[in-house]
Amino acid sequence: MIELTYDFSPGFKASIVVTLIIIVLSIVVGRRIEKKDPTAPIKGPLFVVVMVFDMLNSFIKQFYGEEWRRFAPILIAVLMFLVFANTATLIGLETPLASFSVAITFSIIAFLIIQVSGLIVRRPLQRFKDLSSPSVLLLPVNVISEISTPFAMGLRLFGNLLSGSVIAAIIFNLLGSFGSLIATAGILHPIFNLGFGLIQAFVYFMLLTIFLAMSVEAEGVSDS
Amino acid sequence: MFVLTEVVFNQDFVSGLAAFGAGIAIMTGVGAGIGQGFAAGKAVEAVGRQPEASGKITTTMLVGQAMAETTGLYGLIIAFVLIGQ
Repeated sequence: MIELTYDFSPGFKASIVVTLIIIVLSIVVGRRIEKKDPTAPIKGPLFVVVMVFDMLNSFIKQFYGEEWRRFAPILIAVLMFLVFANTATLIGLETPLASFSVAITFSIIAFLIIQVSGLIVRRPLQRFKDLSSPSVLLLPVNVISEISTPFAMGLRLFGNLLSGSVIAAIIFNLLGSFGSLIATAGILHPIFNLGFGLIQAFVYFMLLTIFLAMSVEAEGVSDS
Repeated sequence: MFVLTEVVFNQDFVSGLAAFGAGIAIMTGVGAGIGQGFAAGKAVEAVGRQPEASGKITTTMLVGQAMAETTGLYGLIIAFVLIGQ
């Protein structure tokens, strides 16, 4: 028997659970869609899934044009993890992104996605030219901005989710167990997880899409 | 004669000043609040001018506000770090 109560932080454990949920859901939904007759109309929950993914694909197509198939899987995987992770408190888990290690992992993943695909698509020499675009003197500034933007993206997620869970904890301490049950379950968790969490998940996805598009096909490194 | 090599502060003094610093760091929320309110006001103007585009305007406004929130969140994180002192 594997020791499941190993000394990980609750956020890290919750992120593992969220990953497992996503894996199971993807396999089940994927197999059900595979069995469907392509000409027949899709009904029920599957229709919602297909519609959402169609919307996301068309969003990604705006940025990448012909090559969107190359980048869509990783972007949608990141978005799926964030959506499930930020709403994980609704099923009683700790928010994974309120743990600093998970947030920093997201920064590192974003950095690697952007830099590796930039190097593969643009080739190292052209990428170097992109980075030193107005002049070679600006190369250090551009490199710093390439490093700091993923870091800022991770910190933004961390700060948002942490503030939500801290406020929930403060109110949980102030009120009794029954009052806090109503306040956190009825008011705070819907606001901080469904509202802010989903918005932040979408913002992270959008920023990652934009920065990835910038590093993959931009003529010069644009500011911001 | 003695030589002062090291100044050791009282721990209460240190945590009190850290709490002051946390309070000051939280003031970054002022800037974030002004920025978010500005974005919301401009979005209301835009909806008033073009009511049929309200869905797109709302999405753009929310994304921009989430971006503007970042500076306030940095202050919050620094305040949390200071509170732990």
